[in-house]
Amino acid sequence: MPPPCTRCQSERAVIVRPKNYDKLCKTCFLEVFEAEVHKTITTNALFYPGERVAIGASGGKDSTVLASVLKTLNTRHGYGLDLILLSIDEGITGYRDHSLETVKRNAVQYDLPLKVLSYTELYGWTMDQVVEQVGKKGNCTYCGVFRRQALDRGAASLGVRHVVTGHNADDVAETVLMNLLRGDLPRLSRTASIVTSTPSSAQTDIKRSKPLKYAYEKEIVLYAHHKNLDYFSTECIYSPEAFRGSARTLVKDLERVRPSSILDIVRSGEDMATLVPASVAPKAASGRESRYGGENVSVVYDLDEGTGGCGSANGRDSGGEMARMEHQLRTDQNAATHGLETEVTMASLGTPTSGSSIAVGVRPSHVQMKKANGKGLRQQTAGACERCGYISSQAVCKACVLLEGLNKNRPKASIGIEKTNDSETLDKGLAKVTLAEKKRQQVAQTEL
Amino acid sequence: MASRNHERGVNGLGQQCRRCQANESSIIVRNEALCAECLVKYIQTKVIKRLESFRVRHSAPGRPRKLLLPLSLGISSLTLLHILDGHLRGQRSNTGRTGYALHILHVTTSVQGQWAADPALLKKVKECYPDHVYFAIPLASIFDGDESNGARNTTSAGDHVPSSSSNQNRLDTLLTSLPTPASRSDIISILQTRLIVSFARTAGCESILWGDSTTRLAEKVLASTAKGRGFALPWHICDGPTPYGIDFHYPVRDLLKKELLEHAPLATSSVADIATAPPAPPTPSAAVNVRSSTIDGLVAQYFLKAESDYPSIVSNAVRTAAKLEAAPSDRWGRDGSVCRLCKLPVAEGLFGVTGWGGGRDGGVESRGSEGELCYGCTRSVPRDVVSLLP
Ligand SMILES: [Zn+2]
Ligand SMILES: [Zn+2]
Ligand SMILES: [Zn+2]
Ligand SMILES: [Zn+2]
Repeated sequence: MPPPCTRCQSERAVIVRPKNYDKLCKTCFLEVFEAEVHKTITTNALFYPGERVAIGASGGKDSTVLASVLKTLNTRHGYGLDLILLSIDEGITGYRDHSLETVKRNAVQYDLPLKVLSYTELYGWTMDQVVEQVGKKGNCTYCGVFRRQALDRGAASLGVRHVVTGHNADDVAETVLMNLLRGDLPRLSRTASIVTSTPSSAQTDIKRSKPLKYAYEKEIVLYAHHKNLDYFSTECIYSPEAFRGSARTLVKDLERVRPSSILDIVRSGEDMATLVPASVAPKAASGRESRYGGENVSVVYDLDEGTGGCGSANGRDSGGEMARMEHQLRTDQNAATHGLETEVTMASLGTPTSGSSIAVGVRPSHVQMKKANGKGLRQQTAGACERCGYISSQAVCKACVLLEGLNKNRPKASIGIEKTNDSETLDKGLAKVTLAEKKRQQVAQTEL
Repeated sequence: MASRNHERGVNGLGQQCRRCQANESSIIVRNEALCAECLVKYIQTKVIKRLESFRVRHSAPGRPRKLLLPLSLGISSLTLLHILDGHLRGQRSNTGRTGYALHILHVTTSVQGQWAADPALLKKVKECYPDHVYFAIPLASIFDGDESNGARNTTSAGDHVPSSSSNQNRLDTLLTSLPTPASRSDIISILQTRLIVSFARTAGCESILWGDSTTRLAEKVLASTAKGRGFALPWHICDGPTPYGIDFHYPVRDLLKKELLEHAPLATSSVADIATAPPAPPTPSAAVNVRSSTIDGLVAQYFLKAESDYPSIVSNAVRTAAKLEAAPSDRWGRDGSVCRLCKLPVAEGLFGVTGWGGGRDGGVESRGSEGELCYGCTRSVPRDVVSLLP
């Protein structure tokens, strides 16, 4: 005979919460789960009444639960949000077909509008075409960079300034450990923050938030199960990064030893973010005003261009990424020992595919070497890509760099068929974006 | 000295040493094939370089600065002692005096189910390195008086400060009341640190020289993070002042544990003979009993492998984490708002596990210890055990 639910004391407990071993009945579990997400939303003042919010929807469990819970809470607590599902079609045969069907059904089930944007529309390349061009190895970089921009670009084209994603506590914990292992303080400083923003650059000033940041993956699965949600078990089919895979395994082991570990890592991540030297973590507070959310929400600028790959690692990589970083660090070390200093460039790191994710991780040590000469840590500065206007710390953003490489090598026949190049496509995308921006400004003016 | 004949014919082993260009190389260190002599020099240099501020000219004649070296009898702290012993003899023969004097402290931890070094080994250490003052105190003496006021008396003349059996009982009761091995392991190391700090302060030492290797510091980075102790990370891994009112130094921070293990038998027979280490944690597998695992053990296991496959990544992770800046004292909250257990400053409103974004309003999780213990300590110590804390 199962014990009674510890919350209502009447129903039979059917769920042991993975987070803290509380024994709950089904109704109480669903309520508690929703209440916790509501608490996350209110204490962080994530939304304002009347805000248009795009839910990055993949058809997977996280974004499906996010959509369902937001819809529920929006009605229950009168948030007054204008919710829309935003899906990106990467153009991976057999991968998106089913999940897009799921998202379409979700749109009907939750009575939410849906917008699907394809990579062809955004970049002129499907992921299948990219893979055909660069091979299976390293396409994870393209996947990451393109996906990173896709949601922002998609949102901008809809005139939506706020994208919510289904990142859960496990994802955040894993990223905290990964960034510690990679020695990546700039990313560490924003991983734990619930709201990030890509600053300035009119087209891409998009606020991003993670309402499920404190929700355990296991509880998301339980929620989806007990709510009979319709989702698709997805997993990126391309090669994952070793660092993330390694961190993921460790998080899972830690969770088994102490279930609160996931939350504890998230907490540590938040606390450590405040210890990152200001020079490596640009914050809205230092210079720019945040125009979003409640008064005290600190918006962390996210200059991440998705170079960490698509983030769907599963520990299957043989460790190539780690081996490359190890090699680069040793080269730096040798150079330092022998009084030389080498500039870490994309070129010196080999192919842009493998290199760009390494470059980020390598910098700290490189900077360490330079420290003797006076200057401390790397400072990221925000600017706009001179080609597409997307936020970038470089003159040309990662996507444009990758596209240039792709287009240069595109078989003649294929160019003939597609009749497109990166700047054209991006120009088209931007035209849309600019239109949307104008519309938004008009709306803002009429409101005034 | 037994010449170590590695049978690895790869990586230029057996060829000329990259540094002296004279001897045959026998070990690969950071990409370079070195001979035994050069390895010993390399290890020494890495440690001594960290001790710049303790040179003879920085101390007043006749009043050497007192430094505490906590000796766990593991490879790292023993290597540190060995090198410092040589360093001091060098200073004495060069200048007729030394820049500092060492107090060596061994904390005996006789706790059921917990690995502990054989205290008899301390005698052997003393014979090998007789120029220093040695102390051994039991962990249970943490219950002697209120050590946070620095009021605890230590019989500095005696080697052993006996702990009353009632103290041992209190420690045993505390540890058996903790819910998991993970909590026990966590609390034991916190109590050890507290005891060492209070001993050092009472003995008038200005700094504590910890023996932590790069590998050990990397473990601390991940373990502290996993335990929700990220807020205190700089105080566990950085050189310099701490809220404990005493400086911490990590002179072995630039060396990997595997390098210390390679070095020991080449440098001296004593270190290698004496050095003891806890048995390697079991390889994690699906079958491993997670109920008996600890966070410290898991993380140690992780770096055992990482250190051999990706040593530079491990070093880089530690170097980077050490750039985190400890919370400035104006963020520590009101005077005296330190955690009752770990004694580290906690920012206003951040005690306990509920008062933050990931916490819950009241409910089952709320504990009496909220407001007294930091986040990490609250996770390890259930509410009804708080009264048992020293
Ligand atoms: Zn119930
Ligand atoms: Zn661009
Ligand atoms: Zn040599
Ligand atoms: Zn504490």
